[in-house]
Amino acid sequence: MSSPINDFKHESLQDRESIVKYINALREGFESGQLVLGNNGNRIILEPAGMIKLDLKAKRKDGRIKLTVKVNWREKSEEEKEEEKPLIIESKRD
Amino acid sequence: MAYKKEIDENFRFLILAVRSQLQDALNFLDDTGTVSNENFFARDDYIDNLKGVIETKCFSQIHYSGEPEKKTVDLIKAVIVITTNLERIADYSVNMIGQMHHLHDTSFIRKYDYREFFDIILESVDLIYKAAISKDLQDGLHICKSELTIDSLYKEVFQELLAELKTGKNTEDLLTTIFIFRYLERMGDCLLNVGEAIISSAMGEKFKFDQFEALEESIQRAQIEASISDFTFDSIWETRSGCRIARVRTKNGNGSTIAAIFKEGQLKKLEDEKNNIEKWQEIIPGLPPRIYSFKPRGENASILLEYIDGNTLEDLLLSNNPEGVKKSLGLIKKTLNEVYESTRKMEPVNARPSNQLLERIREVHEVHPDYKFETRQIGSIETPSFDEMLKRLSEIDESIYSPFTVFIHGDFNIDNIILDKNKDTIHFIDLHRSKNFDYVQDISVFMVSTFRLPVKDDMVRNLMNLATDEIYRFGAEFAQRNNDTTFEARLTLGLIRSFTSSTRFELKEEFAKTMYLRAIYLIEKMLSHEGKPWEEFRLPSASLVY
Repeated sequence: MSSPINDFKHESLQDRESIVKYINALREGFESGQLVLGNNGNRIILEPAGMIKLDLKAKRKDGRIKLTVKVNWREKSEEEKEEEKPLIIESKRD
Repeated sequence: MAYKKEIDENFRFLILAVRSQLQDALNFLDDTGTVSNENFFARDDYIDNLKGVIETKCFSQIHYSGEPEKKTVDLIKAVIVITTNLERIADYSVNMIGQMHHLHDTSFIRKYDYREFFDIILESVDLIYKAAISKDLQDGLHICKSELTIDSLYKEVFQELLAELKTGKNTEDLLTTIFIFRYLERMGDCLLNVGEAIISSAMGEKFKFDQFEALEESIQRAQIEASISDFTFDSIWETRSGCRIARVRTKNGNGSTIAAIFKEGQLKKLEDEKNNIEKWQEIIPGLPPRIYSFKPRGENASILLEYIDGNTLEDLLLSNNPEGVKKSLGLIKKTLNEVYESTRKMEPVNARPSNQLLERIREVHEVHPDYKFETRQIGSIETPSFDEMLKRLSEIDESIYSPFTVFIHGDFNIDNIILDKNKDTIHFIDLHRSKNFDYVQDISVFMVSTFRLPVKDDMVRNLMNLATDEIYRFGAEFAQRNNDTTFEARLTLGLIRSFTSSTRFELKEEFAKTMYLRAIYLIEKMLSHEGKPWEEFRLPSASLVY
């Protein structure tokens, strides 16, 4: 059974070819507005929206490179989501 | 640091008190009417206290006396062990007398010969002080052997008592008598511990009586002109497989030093090693060490082997010795080529490395529980659980065979390869796993045993990468020459096994993870190749560079 979680961590070794799959999976998530990360059926669902801060850092030290990509955004509360629903006015027919 | 006089005094008083306790117990059984209950129990308390005092003084002397001197520490360790066992002997004396109240008639016990037990025990107790202080090996052995005599005496009395029990008469008194003799038998066990403590202190290393006897016999059989007391022990250590190994040295008649490796452990393992050494001698004489003697003893055995003076490939790498490493690699390739060419048999074999891994995976997870991951999802990518990955891997390796076998080392770690002192020959040691098998087993074990040396120094790492690469190239070229088309796939399976299983000995989390993530990466590479011919699979060579 799946239950929501608030933390997710993934660590793996990839090569230039295989890492593209992961980057594409992340890209698809941003495009569609929903990115699902899961571990043993426990999922964290991210819905990027609004202003998104992008931090990009690169570092070279003793021949070892570190590239850090950090993405931050604020999640909308249920109330805000509610407010965003379009107002629908239906006419009454007598 | 010297052994303190006050410990010595307490120790002597303890031995005297235990002796009196034994004598009183004997008098009690003899019903001489000379034993005062009050004195007897008071002395038991006194012995308990003395034991506590001696232990405290011994520990504090080791702890607070500045630079500990090994021979004093050895003596103090022996005093602690002897003290514990003497106190236990005194307790058994009290327990034994406690049993006497259960006899309907105390003269019942006198039908059986307990005096002989007491004679032997008292004789040993009288030897303890001198043997311990002067570290007298012969007296230590004599005390150990008293346990054997006591055991056989106990066996006789026990049979006699059992036979009488079957008659159905005096059952209660007979049972009580068995209990009394059982305490005497346990005193023998204590004396064995005392004797072993004296031997260990004399030899400067922990020794069990039967291991000592095995060593003595090995030396006699090897016809080296020296007795065991002339030997020095450079080192003795417990290996993972429970075999004890020591390097022993002595001088022979003309003054030159003889060094040998003494191994004591499971019969099966040492027998395999002996047989394999003989096979290796036939293939390349001088490659394995010579056997000086081999002696089975029940389920155990001991073997005395030639000590090869030189450096292991591991030593050469860690000491950053490029010349030695390159020399070794050249000789290893030449030797392997010769062995492979001369022992190749056209019989397909499957090493099933993923099954080997399955056998060890529990130990891996005991050390690193977080390595057992479940299914994972990152957006549209779903990866299987660790167990599922291993299952699929096992299905893959079921179908990948080596087209031939060669005689392999079987545990081709870089610390099992020695470049001799003159640097012109190499030797293989630890040969109990040698057999006709897939040579990729040796190649993959060699590569990972190099990789897993926990070294960060760039110079040494470069040398390690060179060693890994050379052996890989050697294997690949041999495969090509011999039409072995799935070499790379089998090598990858072997590396997966060795990378993963090596983590069970690696507690440094970061380095363990380095190996484990490589294994997972290689597994994913293999799984994504499924459906295509394994002849086309290539090992991603970057995965071997740290």
